[in-house]
Amino acid sequence: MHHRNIVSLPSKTLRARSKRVSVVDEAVRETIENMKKATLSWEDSRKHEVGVALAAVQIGELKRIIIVRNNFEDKSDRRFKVFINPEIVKLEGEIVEDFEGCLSIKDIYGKVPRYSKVRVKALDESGKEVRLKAEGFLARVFQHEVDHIKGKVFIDHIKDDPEAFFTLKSDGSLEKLDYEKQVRKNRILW
Amino acid sequence: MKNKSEKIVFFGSGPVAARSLESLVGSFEIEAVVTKPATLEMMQHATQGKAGSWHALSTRAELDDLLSRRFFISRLGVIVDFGIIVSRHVIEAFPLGIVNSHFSLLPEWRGADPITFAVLSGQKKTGVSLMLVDEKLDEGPLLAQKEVTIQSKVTTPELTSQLISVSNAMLAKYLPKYLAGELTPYPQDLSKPVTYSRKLTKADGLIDWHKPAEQIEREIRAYCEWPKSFTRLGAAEVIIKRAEVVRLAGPVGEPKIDKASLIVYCGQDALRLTRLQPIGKKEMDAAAFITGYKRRLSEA
Repeated sequence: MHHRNIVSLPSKTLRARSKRVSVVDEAVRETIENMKKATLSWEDSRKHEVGVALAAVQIGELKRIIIVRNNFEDKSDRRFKVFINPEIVKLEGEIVEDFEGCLSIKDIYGKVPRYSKVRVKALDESGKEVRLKAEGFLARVFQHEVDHIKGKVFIDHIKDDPEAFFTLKSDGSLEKLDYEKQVRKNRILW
Repeated sequence: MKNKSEKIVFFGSGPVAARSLESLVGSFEIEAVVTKPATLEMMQHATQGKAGSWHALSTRAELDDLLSRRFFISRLGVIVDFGIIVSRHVIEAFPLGIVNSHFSLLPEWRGADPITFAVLSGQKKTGVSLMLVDEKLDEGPLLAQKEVTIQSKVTTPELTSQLISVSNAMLAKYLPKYLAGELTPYPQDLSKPVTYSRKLTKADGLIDWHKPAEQIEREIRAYCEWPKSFTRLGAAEVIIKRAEVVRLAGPVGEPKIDKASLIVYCGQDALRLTRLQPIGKKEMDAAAFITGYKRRLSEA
């Protein structure tokens, strides 16, 4: 089994729902390790990008596990926090549009509307219940990752919006895509 | 989920800048490095080539020109040990401004050479300030400060190395917070004394033996790397590298040999010179110096 490969669209696995983790056992811990390694290994191969979070489905495991980077702005901080069976208990605040990308969706960044605040309930790595409130970018990350657990990817939110699709140029800046030519009928995405 | 990595533009020229850049390369994407022609290679080595683009220039006008011609994506600039004062035009090119790591606890020791002046003053503490640059020298608001104890016999290069480590840790800790919108800059505390250091000259190194021994001893440590404390003892021109204060009195500026000890009387007390470097020769201890220069010491 290739632990370090990220599952990408058009793989149907990404649209499957993940199963609740009933016991935080050795298999779960191994999945978590593999998720961390896969994310960092992906990031090390990318010039202008940071691997900010990952869901287990993205390494082909249909378990409700997500990992979130401790520090989004500092690449040298390679630690992650783990959330098992994460649930968004409440969506609050206002709807904000901002850019998101996904390790499983090559070359596309989208301007995705998300709630600015969320309340999250989950289990930590040791199986203990944690509850937290997140705002801003972190709130966005939770919404994005919990979507994965439900078999949803970020492009599903902006499917009909011709202004929302971008690509990352070689100099690290974002360029809008031609919706008609590159997005609407793109077999890889839909 | 992935995100574009945060980019910064780095301005710096000199070994302190190089060490800072080396540390930043791990955490951030360096969109561009702006340096002086003489230090271009040093900076390239510090990043191991990992920077988007390189710019070498010498004047404030050239810097203004660069920022007029060239658009940077970076929201933030970082400036360490650059030697060119940036104009408002350059600062405004970055939505989050330019962060400077200044090696003192501002508003103390604003100006060109805070470290040397901290050693010179004999003060017990100094530190590092992360400051948002403004057009006026070292008057900008702060992101963070950290205090550092000055060890009693420290030299400028030793203190510099210590402060660089502290600075690198602070940049790694606070820049991400600032980029994430979690830090609010605060003004410098002007209820504290505002002091200014200046650029030293070669002439500052010339020892004036009329000064108290304690002060000269501090100069020796402060000027250790540059401009160095030098004097004429008899017919010998020497740089003094290390000395100890001794409670003796005698004719100011006169050297006295006492077995293996070399003492010079000062305005107050005296200094026992322990490490000397005759100009053009290697550094040596007092005993070696006495053996080689005994005759010259007694010549006028």
